[in-house]
Amino acid sequence: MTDVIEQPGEPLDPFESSEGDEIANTFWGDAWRILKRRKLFWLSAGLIVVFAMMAVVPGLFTAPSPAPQDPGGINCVLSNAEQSPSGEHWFGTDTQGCDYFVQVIHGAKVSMRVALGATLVTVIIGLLLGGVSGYVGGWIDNVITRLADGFFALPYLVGAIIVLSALAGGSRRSEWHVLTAIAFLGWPAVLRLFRSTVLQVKNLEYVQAARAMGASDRRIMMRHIFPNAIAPTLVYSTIGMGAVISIEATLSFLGIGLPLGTISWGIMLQEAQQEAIAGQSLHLLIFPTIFLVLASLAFVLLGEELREAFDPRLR
Amino acid sequence: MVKMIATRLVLLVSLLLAVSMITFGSMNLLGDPLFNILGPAVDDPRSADKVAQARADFNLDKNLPHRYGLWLGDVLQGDFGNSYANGVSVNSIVGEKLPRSLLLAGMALVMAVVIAIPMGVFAAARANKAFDKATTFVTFGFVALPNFALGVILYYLFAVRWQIFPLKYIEDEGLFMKLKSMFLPALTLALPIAAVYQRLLRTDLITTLQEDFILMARSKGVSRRKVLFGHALRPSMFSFITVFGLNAGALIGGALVVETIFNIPGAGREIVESIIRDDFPVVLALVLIITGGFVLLNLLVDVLYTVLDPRVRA
Repeated sequence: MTDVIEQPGEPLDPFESSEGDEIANTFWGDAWRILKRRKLFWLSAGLIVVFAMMAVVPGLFTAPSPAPQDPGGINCVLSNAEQSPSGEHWFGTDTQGCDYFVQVIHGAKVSMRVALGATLVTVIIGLLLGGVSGYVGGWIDNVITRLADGFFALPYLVGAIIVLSALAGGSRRSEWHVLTAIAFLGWPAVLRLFRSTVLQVKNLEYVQAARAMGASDRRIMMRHIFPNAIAPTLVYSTIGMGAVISIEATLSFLGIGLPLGTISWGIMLQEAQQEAIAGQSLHLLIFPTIFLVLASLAFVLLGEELREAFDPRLR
Repeated sequence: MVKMIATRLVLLVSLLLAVSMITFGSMNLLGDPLFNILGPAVDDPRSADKVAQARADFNLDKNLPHRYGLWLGDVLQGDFGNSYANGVSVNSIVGEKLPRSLLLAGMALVMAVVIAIPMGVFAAARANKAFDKATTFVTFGFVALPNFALGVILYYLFAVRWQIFPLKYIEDEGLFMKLKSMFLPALTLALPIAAVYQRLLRTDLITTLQEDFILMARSKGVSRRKVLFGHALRPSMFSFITVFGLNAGALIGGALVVETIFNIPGAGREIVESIIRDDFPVVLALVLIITGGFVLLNLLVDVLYTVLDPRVRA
């Protein structure tokens, strides 16, 4: 949180499109003009599109279902177990003799779902509380920020463990519980960030002007403050999605996240760990790791690119 | 300064109370402590007196607020109660496991700083040149690579395949062996942290290097190396120190993961195992100790901050 982005002070319409317009002078137009020239932006955005498609229509890449019993599912031959990668099985086979490529592709589904869901919930709670806290101020602000401070004092993984064990024990856990736990611990960071940007924006002249003209609180918040205070939160939550992917996998790996048997990179890595430590089947470890790192890295990089585009100091 | 410390300590106590109440409450309401103590014997009518005994021993015959009060009273006297799983005192479990985790965390921090400072200085001295670009790439990789994946890879390469380091934690063959068996786990924790430190140090150093006093020193004929390490390094350490405290949280989380992978019987692995077998007293004690330590460390960082930068003192 060392480099919070400073907001420019112009009242702008975020939906005003400026595509292809080289003399765009809106905040978002400027950002887009910078972004579209950057290679890393296109690389990370492209990767995210690929992973999103993997999650929504895995059939484009491989068999539509990883379960052998489903129609369109795959064949698992136990005598083919733990084969190394080959032309027939690109990523080799797992301990049950199932094709590993199919499973790694399908692993994107849970990861993306949890990341998107948890980030959305985090951002919504953070924006609501942060907006109220920053705009209204007073004792409400005090209560909300104190509460958030409490969350910051809790080490993240320890917090996640407490929440998860409180929500549901052992096998009753589902991706909803994991999502809830991550969102529950994530909102204070968004709150802090959005609150501080709202505080910066709310005293600018154009907000005063709107108030003098008799605009309602609601209108000032939605029309004038929100569009100009949202950029840092957008950057943070993009990077946050990358972090959530990694956290979900860590929780699943430790055996306190998604239930065993879920097709997820974290669970695959947990199962692969034993095999790899025995010195066999290193491919079971490598392929989910590569996918996990790429998915997480894509969001982190996209966030960094957005940060550069949104930061007026760098222009 | 004294006032700041006092306010923070009051905040710490209220935080610990809140965390203990929430954890105590949720664990007792959602789980079945009797089942966790005795196992399936709970439902066996022949062991009725055993059940009654356990009920009395662990205060389970009282209501929840009463039980919390009794527990808190014991904790204030320094007694965290007994484990549900085997009746061993929680104090002795903590006393046995926590020092290992502290050693691990300490080693990791030292390693992270030792790696980060030279890397950060070299990257900043030749900003945007090949070495700088390469480290940028590598550090992003380490930030995105989850701790456990890094751990498993290091374990496989250096312990299983090349057998440079032992396969598991060895404590009773002297200090050297102990440190050697901690090396890989500490490195796993240190690398991602070093990556973050390096980025911060690099950014701050680049800013510092543009200041007039650096130019002044250079024009007086002070050597490049001396300017970098002697003049520029100290004023560039602020964000570094701030993150040092926040990183302790990541370190605690990382210890949980790393101890599980490398078979180190430390506090982190104990938490995960206690959660899985619903051993509430152990979880409670460790969560409270870790949270308290984390907050105290951040307080220490803030104090250190004022020592390092006289401008904050006013």
